Amino acid sequence: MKAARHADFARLIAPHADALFRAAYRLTGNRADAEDLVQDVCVRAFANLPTLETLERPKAWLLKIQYRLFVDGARHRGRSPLRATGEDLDASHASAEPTLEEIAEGSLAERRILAALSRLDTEQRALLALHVEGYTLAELESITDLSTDVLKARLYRARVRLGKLLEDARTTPSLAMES
Amino acid sequence: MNCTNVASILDDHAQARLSAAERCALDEHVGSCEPCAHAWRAQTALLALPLPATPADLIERALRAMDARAARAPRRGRARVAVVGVVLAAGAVLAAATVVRLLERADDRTAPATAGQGDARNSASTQTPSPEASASAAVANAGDGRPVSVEDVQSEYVMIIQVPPEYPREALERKLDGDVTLEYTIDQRGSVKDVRALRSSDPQFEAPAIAAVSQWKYLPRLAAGQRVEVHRVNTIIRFSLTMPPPAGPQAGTKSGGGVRQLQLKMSPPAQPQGTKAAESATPEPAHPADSATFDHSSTVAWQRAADEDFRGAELELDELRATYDLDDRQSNQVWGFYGYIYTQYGDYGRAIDAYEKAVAIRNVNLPGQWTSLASLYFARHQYDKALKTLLAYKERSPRGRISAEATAMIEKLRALGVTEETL
Repeated sequence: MKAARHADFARLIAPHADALFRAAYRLTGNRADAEDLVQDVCVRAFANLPTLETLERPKAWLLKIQYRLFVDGARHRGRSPLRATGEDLDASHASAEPTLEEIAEGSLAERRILAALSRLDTEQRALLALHVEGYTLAELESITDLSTDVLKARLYRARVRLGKLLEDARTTPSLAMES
Repeated sequence: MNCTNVASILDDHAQARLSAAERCALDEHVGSCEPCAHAWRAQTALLALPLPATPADLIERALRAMDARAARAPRRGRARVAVVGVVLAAGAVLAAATVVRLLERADDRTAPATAGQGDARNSASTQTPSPEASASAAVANAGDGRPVSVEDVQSEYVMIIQVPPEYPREALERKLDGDVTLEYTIDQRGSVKDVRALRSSDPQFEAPAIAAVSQWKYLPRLAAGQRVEVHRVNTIIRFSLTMPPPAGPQAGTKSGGGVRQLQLKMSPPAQPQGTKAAESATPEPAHPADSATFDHSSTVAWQRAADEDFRGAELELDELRATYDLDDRQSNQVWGFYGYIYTQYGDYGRAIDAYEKAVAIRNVNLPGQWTSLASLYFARHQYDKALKTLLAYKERSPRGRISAEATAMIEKLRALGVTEETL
């Protein structure tokens, strides 16, 4: 019985595992927290399995859960709910030699971008993370419950802020303008 | 080309679809507009982020984690599961917090770092153990004349005082369920320290969980008869508004998959508007006033034991037992506590008697008491009794699941030629 429900659930959610994990990674900045976040999403989704089964577009629904978990979690704590964000990344910046773990987590450029992302406020970060995953404004609207105008304005502001942070950190990729 | 156009291009992921002319106009604007230059840079950087590979077994692992959270099945792997689970049911509202204790990892076990003791344990068993152990052994021999290998005397840490967490008001209003995984150390006195939240479904549950667990008290683990610190004890506290309290008597011991569930009263939530059904499903102890007294006396006894005033602790328990009508759960706790105290005295004969009384209470089943009892028999070279104890434990456990300690002890006995067949 339980095994059957698990199988149903796995079948429904498997096509969206990549999307969830990639978005979670953008949100949290590291694999471990991303995996935790996806697990939290699974817990919520599994509890609502009957709903999930009837959805035409489960991906948007799942991403919406993930977005809410991330944004609400951060709001309650007054900072990102997930551990390895700004401070941790800054700390790893400071150390001269990256640890093996850091190398595994990605290149210096990648970590700089993630560090800058972590300094955005949670919602800005969440919007950019989802947007860069390729979601359209219409999809973002349904995920975030924000109107198009608000979304556009927030996305633009978030990008400006991120770009400024990247420049301040002198981590601007030199060919950025030409790509 | 203006800022709005640039924003739209970025919003629509349209960079690659621009014509040469549009591209020219765009470059010109971005070159002269600082905000747009930032926005463009940000987008480029984000798109340059490598795509993380999704772990192949992501969903499978999530399902397993869900199982662990549901505390229905023991988790395999590094952390061993769940000897004690407790459901804390709220009074008026059907709210409950489940506590699932994961035992710390096996490699974190710490024995007292007494010089020479390790050597004694590794070499022939006839060698004298540490001075303290010898002293305890001497007491034991004076007690009932049986030889004791003190290095085999051990007991699991046992929870004595469990303060229920408060259901966060906001979560109650929003009807939110949640859980928090905590990691902490039980020090040599049995106090909880260094509590941190490893993860939580929602941070608002963390503070009440940490606040509650920080007040919990244990009888600290004994290894070779000495109290030791236990690191990295993991506990999941689950807050639930929908979880039905376990059926059965007040000290409900419905066990499943090696997970025990007790039921404690939870501090009433702020808005006690709930169904009466919850109350009837959560029967009050027969003498609620006694329950408070019991908690108070347990606290006093624990305090004395923590201060190594074992005689004082024993007197407190004597008084408690003489004055009040204890229910099964309380009796079980008291006898287990006696067992612990006598073990610390080095009075192993009486410790065995006390533990026998604790495990004789049939609707409470604490693995730590069974293994403590078996270890005492083992230390006294009463291998048959040790095995009988472990087999009785197995019989009483749901689906015959027993703790890793018990399994290890059965293996040790088998190595000594003591098996079910030889009994």
